Amino acid sequence: MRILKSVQTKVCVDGSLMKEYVLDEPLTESFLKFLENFGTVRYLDNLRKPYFSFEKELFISIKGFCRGQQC
Amino acid sequence: MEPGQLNEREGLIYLNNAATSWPKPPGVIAEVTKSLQDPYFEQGRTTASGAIDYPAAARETLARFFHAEKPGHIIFTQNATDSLNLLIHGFTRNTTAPFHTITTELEHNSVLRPLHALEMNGALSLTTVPFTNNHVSLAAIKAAIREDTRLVVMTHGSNVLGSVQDIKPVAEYLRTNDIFFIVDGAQTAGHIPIDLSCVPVDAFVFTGHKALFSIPGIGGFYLPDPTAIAVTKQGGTGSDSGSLRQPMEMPTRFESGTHNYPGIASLYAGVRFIEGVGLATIERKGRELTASFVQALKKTDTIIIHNKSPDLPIVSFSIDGIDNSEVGFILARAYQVITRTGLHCAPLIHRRIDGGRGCIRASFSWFTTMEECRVATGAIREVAESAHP
Repeated sequence: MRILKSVQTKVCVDGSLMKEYVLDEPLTESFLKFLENFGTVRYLDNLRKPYFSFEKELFISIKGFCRGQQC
Repeated sequence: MEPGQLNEREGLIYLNNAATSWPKPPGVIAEVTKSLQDPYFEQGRTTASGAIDYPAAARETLARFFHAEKPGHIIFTQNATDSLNLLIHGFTRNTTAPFHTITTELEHNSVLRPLHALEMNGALSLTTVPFTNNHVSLAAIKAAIREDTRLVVMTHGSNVLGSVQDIKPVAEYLRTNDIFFIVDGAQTAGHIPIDLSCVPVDAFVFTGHKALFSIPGIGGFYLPDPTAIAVTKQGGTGSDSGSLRQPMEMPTRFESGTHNYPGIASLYAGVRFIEGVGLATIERKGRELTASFVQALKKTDTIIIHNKSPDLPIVSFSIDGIDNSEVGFILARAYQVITRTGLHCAPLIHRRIDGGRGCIRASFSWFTTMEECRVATGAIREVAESAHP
């Protein structure tokens, strides 16, 4: 999996950065399972676009959508 | 122009009208274009003639719209925040001793921050009156009044709860007790009738870019008697230019520098659009959309609605078990439903209703359709039900 595009969209008041990434392939369920080793994963698959979030407190927060049939 | 005809961004459902209305009526866009194409014309500032004197025309239009007796006492500013700062700081500068001020928990930071800054400087002491059932009562304000109370600043309509405050009895009571009363009408102007001929407020603040359909960057206030407010900005007014002293006539007393002509033109056209449709029609539609929206959300137990009977077309809610910013993100990216999440610049309301966590706000305009509300509530319920399968 590779990052095709990275855009810094916001600098938050606490100094953290918010970036938006476009990946070259859909995120897979196995990748989300892998992420569970490092923090909390939420996966909502009953939405128009399946949504996921990954939270590692005081380190990183990721949220996005899984497109495609696999995930 | 019928609702639903202007949304050229296919599929986008814009429910953030309490922040800034979108789309704008075609007449507004046309008037802005015209204001930029024609040579600027304002008495005292050009030898051009024949074009519209937008500041004068907009003052007349706004005075008619608000039933304000003196068009020349409508002052243009950048927005409601600019108006409130000018009024609050101007009142404080004109009052020598530290004095007591009353405000409410329903206020936006445009009221809270200037008052807090003045409190920190020792210029005033501040009492913040709580709300009950989404409203601040006259009794609560009466209870907060002290011998040294000189100023009350209060919102007309809450930008989070959508509740309209009954300002008339408050204004009448404060007038008889010689307490200056500033009303923030940022959320009500354009949504509900406002008759300043029978409500004795000392200053009424409005902004253009919300329900009055103007472009951002133009607002103002109505100030029937300007003597209580010190002039805090001086400069060119196009009148009495030989004098180094700021003219004390209205409106130049508070309007230094060149006007925001396109903004004023858009405000002029926005109010005329509302008059054309009919404010009663707009208000009725807002109530129908809001009732329908609330009714749909009530079907899902995990959706917490913070005011189930708002007076304004504003519905604030949270979804149990999922962060507000995540909900906003999902609605925008997966469903093209635009809302606003967070504290809405009204921290004291959120401390009361959600422990300061904030919420999601959906807000409608004349251009919002019932079908858009149906799709949006369906999306919100889908998110809520997905979070609690």
